[in-house]
Amino acid sequence: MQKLTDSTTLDKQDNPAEPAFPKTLDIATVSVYGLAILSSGIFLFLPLVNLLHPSPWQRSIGMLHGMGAMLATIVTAYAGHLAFPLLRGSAKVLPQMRTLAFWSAIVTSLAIATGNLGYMRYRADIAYDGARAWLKLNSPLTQYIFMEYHEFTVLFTLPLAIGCTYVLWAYGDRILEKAYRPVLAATSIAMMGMMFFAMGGFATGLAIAKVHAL
Amino acid sequence: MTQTSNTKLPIYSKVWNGLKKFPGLLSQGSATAPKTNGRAAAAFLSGGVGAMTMMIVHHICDTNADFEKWIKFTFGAWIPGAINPDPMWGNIGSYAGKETTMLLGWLVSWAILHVVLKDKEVRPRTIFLWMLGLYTVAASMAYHPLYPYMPLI
Repeated sequence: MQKLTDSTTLDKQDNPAEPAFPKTLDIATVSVYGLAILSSGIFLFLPLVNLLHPSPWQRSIGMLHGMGAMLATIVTAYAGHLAFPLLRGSAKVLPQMRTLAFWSAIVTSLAIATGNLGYMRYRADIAYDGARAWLKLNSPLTQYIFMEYHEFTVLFTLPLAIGCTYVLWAYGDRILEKAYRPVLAATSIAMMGMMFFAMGGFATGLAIAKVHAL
Repeated sequence: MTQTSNTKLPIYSKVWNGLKKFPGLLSQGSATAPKTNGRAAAAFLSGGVGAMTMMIVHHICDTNADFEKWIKFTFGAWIPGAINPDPMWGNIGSYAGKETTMLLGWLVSWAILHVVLKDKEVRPRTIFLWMLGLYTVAASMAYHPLYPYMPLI
């Protein structure tokens, strides 16, 4: 009986005259890349859904902040994940970590700036259907649990990103030496913290927008 | 990666590899590393100091309307949208002042800690305890044990 798990048996060509059936490894590779591209494309499309919203503020400011927050989350999450090989002392990721920390600082600044813009309209009067006023009346826990956490902790990403950028640059390649292990560990943990606060901000922001838009 | 192998890569891989090293000056890192960990300690602890400063100011603001007004006009007015009389567009309000106090607390404490610690070897335990402690306490201070729930009672 042919073993299904045996790729060499499956890849064996019975009739040389027929076009060769692709190797299972190639099919798997194309499938993985295809799924990754399609699913990330759908995920990145998320802020554009704001364009269909009936509120003009959600269509404009909401979409801008959504794009900024999405970009910040992706870049900081990528940096946070690479903090694990950095912690293990991988020299290969070090140049990339320096630039990633820098770009994390840039995109979190953008997310905070667009967030300030959105926060203005969030605090609009109840007569104009301001989200904050409406939430306090109708769903106070959304304001007191999600928004209180969201508006403060997302700001923590900026000093963490700038601190990491400075330390990774200043200590250069010597950060991987044994003498600097505490510095390397503190930097890696700071990058993981940055990822944590960015992802927390993104999740709570989505939760608030789901209950009441701008 | 050698130049020869890079030329064989598809265009998207070349773009990605280029992006990972941009800006080039930064990706190379400094040639001369500091001899102690004091500079790193200053960089990480100062962020926590800024976060704590903001959260303390936030708590005082929520219990003292006069202080909140002072924070808003003294520290927050420079941020666009902090003060806006239009009720339809809203305004950032005292949050702008709180953001500024975090910025000030962070940058001022970084400058001070940098000068104080730059040539010193700080115990690793001290760095981790204060960095993790300050950010954890600051994050938990988004919630006050009593005042946000008063309107719900």
